[in-house]
Amino acid sequence: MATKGKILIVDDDPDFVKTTKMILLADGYEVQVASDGKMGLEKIREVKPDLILLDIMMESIFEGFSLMGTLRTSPEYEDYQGIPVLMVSSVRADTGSRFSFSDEEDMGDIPQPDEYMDKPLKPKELLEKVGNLIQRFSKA
Amino acid sequence: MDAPRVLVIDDEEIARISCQRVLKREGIQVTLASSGRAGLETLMREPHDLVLVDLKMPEMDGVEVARRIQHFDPNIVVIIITGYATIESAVAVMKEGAYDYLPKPFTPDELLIVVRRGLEKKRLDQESRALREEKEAMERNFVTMVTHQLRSPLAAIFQYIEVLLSNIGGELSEVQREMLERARERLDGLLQLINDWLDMSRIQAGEILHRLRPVELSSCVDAAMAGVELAAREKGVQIVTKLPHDLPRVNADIDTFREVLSNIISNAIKYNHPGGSVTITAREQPEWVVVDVSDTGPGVDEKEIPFIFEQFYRSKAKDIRKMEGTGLGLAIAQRIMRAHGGKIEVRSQLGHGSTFSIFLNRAVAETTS
Repeated sequence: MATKGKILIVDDDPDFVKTTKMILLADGYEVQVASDGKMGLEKIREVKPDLILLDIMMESIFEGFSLMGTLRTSPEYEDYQGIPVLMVSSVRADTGSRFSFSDEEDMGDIPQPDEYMDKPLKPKELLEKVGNLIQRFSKA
Repeated sequence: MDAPRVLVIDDEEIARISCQRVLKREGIQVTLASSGRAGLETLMREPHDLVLVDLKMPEMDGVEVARRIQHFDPNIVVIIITGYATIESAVAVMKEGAYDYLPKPFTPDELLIVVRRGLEKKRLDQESRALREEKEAMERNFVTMVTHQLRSPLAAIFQYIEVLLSNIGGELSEVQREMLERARERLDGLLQLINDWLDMSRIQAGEILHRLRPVELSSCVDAAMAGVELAAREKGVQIVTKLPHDLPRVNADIDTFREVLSNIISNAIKYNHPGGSVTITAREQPEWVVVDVSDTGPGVDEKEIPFIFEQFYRSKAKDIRKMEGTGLGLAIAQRIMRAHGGKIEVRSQLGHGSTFSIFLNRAVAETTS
């Protein structure tokens, strides 16, 4: 059966992974899971997902950002640079939609994700964002 | 630990060499320079902890060297060697940021005492700076870390409930659905509490003051309205906005001020009777622009008025207790307005509704048109 797309979830919280996976599966997506940044990078090459759902804080505060950095700037990942990234975190965005830590210096020149969502994810909102992102990037 | 590094700047070779000999015996790494200019160049190339510089040198004297070192890196300890240990010359060099001075001629022990004390000061400075930086970094990230630890498990639970409620795990019975919906509501309240608490800890008066700009009051009200219209419709509360057209602009930080407005307006909706109304008006006073938000709700008991802006205070009235709330909203709003140099006041009578008045500084009239 043709799926709506392949989604890679990179997150170290098994409960979050389980429920997010169920939401996406129920809507007809194929889902792959990686439980840390390193495994995430391997899986990206292995399955070439249509979208990456990436948790910011895993083992360390910046693990998610460091994966973003590698994906967007490393020559090894040239073929995968265009994959949209939806970043999620349970640390609420400061104000408005632009995500940032309270300290700008800590952020450095890290590439920004294509979209950002706060945990907990509501099924409807998640599916809407995922659908839009995949559509936007498949056209590009 | 690395050996301390000392630079000796003196135009007399004998003076340089003898300093070097004394300091080297103590395990200090010594660099020599025969003029102020050469000394400064050395400092640019290699870091040093302490500089001994002769006051009387041709071309560039010790005072000037001390001044330039201070400018280049204030953490370098400078000690002036002076042949004329007059009060005047000592005062002059200390003024340029030198840490100490050493009158000529001096014994090896005198030299060592002054240099050791200088190096000790440098070490203490460094330690206290490192401690201060560590403390600041912890304070900066503390809120983020705590929030993450608190929110992560809640978010996981919340998402389980969301999945169940969307029937992805299978059909739910009516009773199960009701119970889960109630669980979600309570959880929502808890998340709201954490968010509010986080907002509270983030309001820094100085930062808001820094972001104050002259803004149109009506645009802030419009923006705040956009966020509360749904709640008003759901409760059947009518909102009437009557702002005078010729209001002066106000000094506000748009983001936080909008938060205050929407907090006050959504309270007026929430603590209102179904079918009631909320009226938003504004007036001018010599110093202030005042926004009045009046509701047709149950009103606040006179006894409670002094407390409603306190953190975690919630009304004792029964029908208000029933509603979800963190008791932080008004405390945050008041804190934001104080940081604006303004305030919030309330007038209310039981059974006759309440009016919350937000006082803002009017923007200084611009001279350019």
